[in-house]
Amino acid sequence: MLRKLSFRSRLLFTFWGVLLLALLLPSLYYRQILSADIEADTRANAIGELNSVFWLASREQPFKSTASLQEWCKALGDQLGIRITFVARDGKVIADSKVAFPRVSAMDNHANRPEIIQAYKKELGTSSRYSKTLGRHLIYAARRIDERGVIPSGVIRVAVPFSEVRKRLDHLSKNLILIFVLTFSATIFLSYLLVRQLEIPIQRMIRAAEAIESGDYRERIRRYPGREFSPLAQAINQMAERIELHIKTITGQKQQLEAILNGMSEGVMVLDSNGKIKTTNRALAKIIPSLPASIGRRPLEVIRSHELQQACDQILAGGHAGESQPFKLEISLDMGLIFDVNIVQFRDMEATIGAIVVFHDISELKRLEKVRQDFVANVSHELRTPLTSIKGYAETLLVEGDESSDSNRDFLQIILKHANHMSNMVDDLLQLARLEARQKLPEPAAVDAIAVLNSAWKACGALAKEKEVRLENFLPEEGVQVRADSEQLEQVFRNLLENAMKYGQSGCTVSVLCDVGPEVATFQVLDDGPGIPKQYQLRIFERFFRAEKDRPNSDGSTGLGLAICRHIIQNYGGKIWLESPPPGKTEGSAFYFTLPIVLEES
Amino acid sequence: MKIRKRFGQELEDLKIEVLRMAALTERSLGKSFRALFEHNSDLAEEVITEDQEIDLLEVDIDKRCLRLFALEQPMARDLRFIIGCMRVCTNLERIADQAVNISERALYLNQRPALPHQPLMEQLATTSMAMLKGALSAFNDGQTSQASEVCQMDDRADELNLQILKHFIDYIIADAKSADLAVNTIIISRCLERCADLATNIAEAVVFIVEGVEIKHYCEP
Ligand SMILES: Nc1ncnc2c1ncn2[C@@H]1O[C@H](COP(=O)(O)OP(=O)(O)OP(=O)(O)O)[C@@H](O)[C@H]1O
Ligand SMILES: [Mg+2]
Repeated sequence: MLRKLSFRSRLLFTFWGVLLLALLLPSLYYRQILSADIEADTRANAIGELNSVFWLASREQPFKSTASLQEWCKALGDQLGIRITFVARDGKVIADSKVAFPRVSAMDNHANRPEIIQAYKKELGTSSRYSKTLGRHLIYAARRIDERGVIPSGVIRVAVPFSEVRKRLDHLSKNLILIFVLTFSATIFLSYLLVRQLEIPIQRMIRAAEAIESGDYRERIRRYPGREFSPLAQAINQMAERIELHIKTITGQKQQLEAILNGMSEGVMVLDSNGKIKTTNRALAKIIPSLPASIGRRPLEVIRSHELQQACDQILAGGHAGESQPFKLEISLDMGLIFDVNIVQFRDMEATIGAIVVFHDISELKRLEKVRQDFVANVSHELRTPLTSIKGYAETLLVEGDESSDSNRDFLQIILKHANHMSNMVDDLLQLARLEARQKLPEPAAVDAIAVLNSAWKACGALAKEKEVRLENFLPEEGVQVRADSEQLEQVFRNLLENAMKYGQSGCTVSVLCDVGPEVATFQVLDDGPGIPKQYQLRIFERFFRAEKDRPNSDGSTGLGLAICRHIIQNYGGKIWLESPPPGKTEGSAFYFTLPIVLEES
Repeated sequence: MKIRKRFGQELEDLKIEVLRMAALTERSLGKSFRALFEHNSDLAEEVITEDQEIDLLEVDIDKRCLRLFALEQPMARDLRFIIGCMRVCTNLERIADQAVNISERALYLNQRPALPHQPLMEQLATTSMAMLKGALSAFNDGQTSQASEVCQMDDRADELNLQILKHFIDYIIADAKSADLAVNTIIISRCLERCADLATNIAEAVVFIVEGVEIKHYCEP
């Protein structure tokens, strides 16, 4: 029951209970003891008086009549200030000092008075009682008396009033109650004040804690009600301090993140697990004008690209396997805007999936790339016609100009050679331009790689003979069916074989291997030539890149061969790379490329 | 409560699907314009093959709407939204068909010597594209102001179409040998004008969704 009450009431109630007990018990106890003492004293007094009266009565001459007895009683009683009564054996009153003689005979029978019964039993009897006759509280003492003259055998009794002390005692107890009430109310008031005094700092502490709870983390508890509360106050203070610190770090981090986000030139969009936009950065707002109202909407409602929406849906559904790798796609919007979009999946604390979408504006890049491609294509195209005429006239002069001198012939030869070189280069460039321009190819037909390799080998027959190079063909005899255009595949093989022969010593061997996987076939063209220095390996597929820029016998090569190979292979969805030296060897180089194979079912 | 929430989600998904179809249609139309004006037959081929995807999406959205009608018995605004979505997607599908028509004509024209520059055609194309875009963004944002702008632009499209018609009638009279080019261009112009009409229909559907009133009478002459 107490537990439901407030701290204050509990304290007060206990206080009051203790006070009540402390005040009441001693006063009751003292009163009890005092009144018992007074009674015992009066009783002893009464017995003394009785004994004196008895002694006096036995010394007196025997009384002649009851009237004289009555006289004597009255005189003695008045003298002693007590009441003396003679009661006969049958209980009839014979004389009484306080009653007039004629009325004595009318008094009621005293045989059943307790002191008298006691006196008959034990010689002496006492009792204390309120006397109706006298209207006072009295102590009675009675003693047996033998027959003597007119006095029959019976009992002599004296009645002594309680002393004045008794009156005082009664008075005192009345005062005591008053004092009790007064002290009690005073202490109640005092204890109330005390408890309130205790309560105020507790309340203050509670208010401070509440302030902290409601977000005012700078609030501290500085004063507390007592030493017992200091650990609590300290704990709360430390908690507040820690929270303040955390909040500071978190806001700091948030501001930093926001600054980073807004400072980025890429547009960023964060999606929640329902695929709705949670935050965006400033760069994105610049890219997409309708952005401010984008929070809480889906990407498609903001950026009209269904590929983007599809990719986001897929990622949020967990469809993209590699979680850490971004999902890449390219979207083009109105007004020639092209974005490279990266989507990364992330999990927040509750393990729900969200996605971060990063938009990188590559419109300018694309535009420049297009300009470059167009430029190369146009220049190559324009160079073709003059080159053809140069070649044609040089050839004609060589065939027909018999009268020209030897040196003239040599010059013409040089012109023709370089013109040929240049026209090869222009052809390669044009082909590259064409390969670049075509993004999607119609599904290519199936070709047998062995047949293609054989014709490629035949095409480089002259060079092979000159350098005495042998081809080791390790392709499986039943043939490898791949999806590619046979002419282009032949060009890839020819380029790789030519390179192997051109850059290796004469008399070396070139091997072609193939590893057929479940979906792609990996071809390998292996030579035991000088190999390619590590620092060039990454750049070798760039156009016009040649490792031996300063090597003398590099005439006739343009550095476009591998660039063309890479484009062709990539157009078929394959990969091309090299290892030099090849694994397990110390010299030579191995070129690898993959092509999709023709599956049995289709 | 939970059912209601799911219904809300369904409506949102429906909107996304319609927007998806809108994005595809818009791109298709844009590609057909480029096929025509940049003489790019590859793009024309793409438009023709991609049309199937749009048709499939229309069927899908129709099914979605029917299911929502049957299962949820939508009321008031939700009902209007679903009906509106159906209208929008029917019109989108027709626009995609027009894009295919334009592409087919472009394929023919690209094989023939090019006509001189046609500013009127380009204007008509820009107008109808702007109308489609306006109608779609009105649908996206639920804004009637944009929708009524689209309705007003329709007059301009009709006027351009008429001018083109007159211009090419003169052209045929002047140069009867290239009459086939002129006729094809007139057909394209007609397609463009149809696109503008269909965009207007979409804008009307948006007004219907948002305000619940039919404005066909005000908008169409
Ligand atoms: N098998 C190889 N061994 C050593 N170096 C090679 C080999 N294949 C290519 N390279 C190096 O890579 C460079 C680029 O080769 P690429 O085929 O692209 O051009 P190229 O052979 O010089 O000219 P092109 O093939 O156009 O006539 C070569 O110049 C050469 O330095
Ligand atoms: Mg080469």
